[in-house]
Amino acid sequence: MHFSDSTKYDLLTRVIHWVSVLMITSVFFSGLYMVDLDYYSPWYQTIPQWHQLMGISLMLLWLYKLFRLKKITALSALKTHNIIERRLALIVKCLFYVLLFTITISGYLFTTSSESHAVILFDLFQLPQLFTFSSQNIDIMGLIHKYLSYFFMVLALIHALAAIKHHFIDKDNTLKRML
Amino acid sequence: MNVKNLILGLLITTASAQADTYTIDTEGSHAFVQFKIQHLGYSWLYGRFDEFSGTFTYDEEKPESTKIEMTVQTSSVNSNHSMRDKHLRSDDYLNVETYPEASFISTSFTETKDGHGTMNGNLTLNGVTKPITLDVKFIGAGKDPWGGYRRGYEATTELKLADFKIKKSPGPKSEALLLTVSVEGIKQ
Repeated sequence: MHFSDSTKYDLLTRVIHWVSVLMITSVFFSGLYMVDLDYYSPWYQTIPQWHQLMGISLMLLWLYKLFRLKKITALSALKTHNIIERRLALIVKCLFYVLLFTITISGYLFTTSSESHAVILFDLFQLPQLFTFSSQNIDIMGLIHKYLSYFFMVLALIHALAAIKHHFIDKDNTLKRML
Repeated sequence: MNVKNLILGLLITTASAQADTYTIDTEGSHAFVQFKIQHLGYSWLYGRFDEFSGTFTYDEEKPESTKIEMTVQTSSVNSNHSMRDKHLRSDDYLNVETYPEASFISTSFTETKDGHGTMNGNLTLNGVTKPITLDVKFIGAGKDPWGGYRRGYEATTELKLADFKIKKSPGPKSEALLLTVSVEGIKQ
């Protein structure tokens, strides 16, 4: 396999990374906030729609990101990273993909699962229904969606702390490559 | 079992057999557990429970001995909106994971006239058991075209959500709901 020795990730990779940071943070906190929103809040109808729109956009963005992996040349690992760090980084990266798709797909499926009620975002586009599910399965998908999101955020926090540790303690190029 | 007990047992069975037992016809879906609750105070929102079962007894000679028992699967709540139903199943409302069943067991029945009356009993909902009173209307009874005998009622009552420790109310205009239980029993 061929690796690039460039000191930075290419521009599009960096843009996708930081756009994802913004989107994941807002989709997580909008989700956390909207489930406890008072029924009489003026946001009661709009925040869930933003949450759903952002979730779908994130799913599509990461689908593109996934296919793009085939085309781009990966950066060679930094010499300062030991084998354990390399392995861990790879495992966490893979987990991010698996979690992001599980969370967004489960969210999409239970949101669109009603036979009688189409989900229409901002009076503009209707989300196509792929499957209908029993109430029991809808609830299970809801729990998966919720707890995997928590797990994702914990992992993202560790990922961010690791980058900071590499930057300030190891003083290596890890974070700079993504800036 | 000795002979004396056997005879006694038979006597008791014969005596209680005078009250007919009816199974609520959920198989043919001739029974409904419906509710309506106000939305913002501007309209009625209707919902129902799709899965339930029950039996009742009725003795024409002794209508006051009428008894009914019903069990409702709370996860079958259906308000024609999948995401609202998901919310209704959560611990904000019906808490179906912890309390998958709601039940009603009658304690007494007072017949007024024309078969109508008042049914008292204990309703268990969201793990809370409270006595409630239902206004019962007798709809009709008689032979059905397929060789059976049927008897039907419609009962209504008002339930305050807070009485059953339902955490959330959708607003100040929606703190109580009107429950309608419509049953058709097939004589066993």
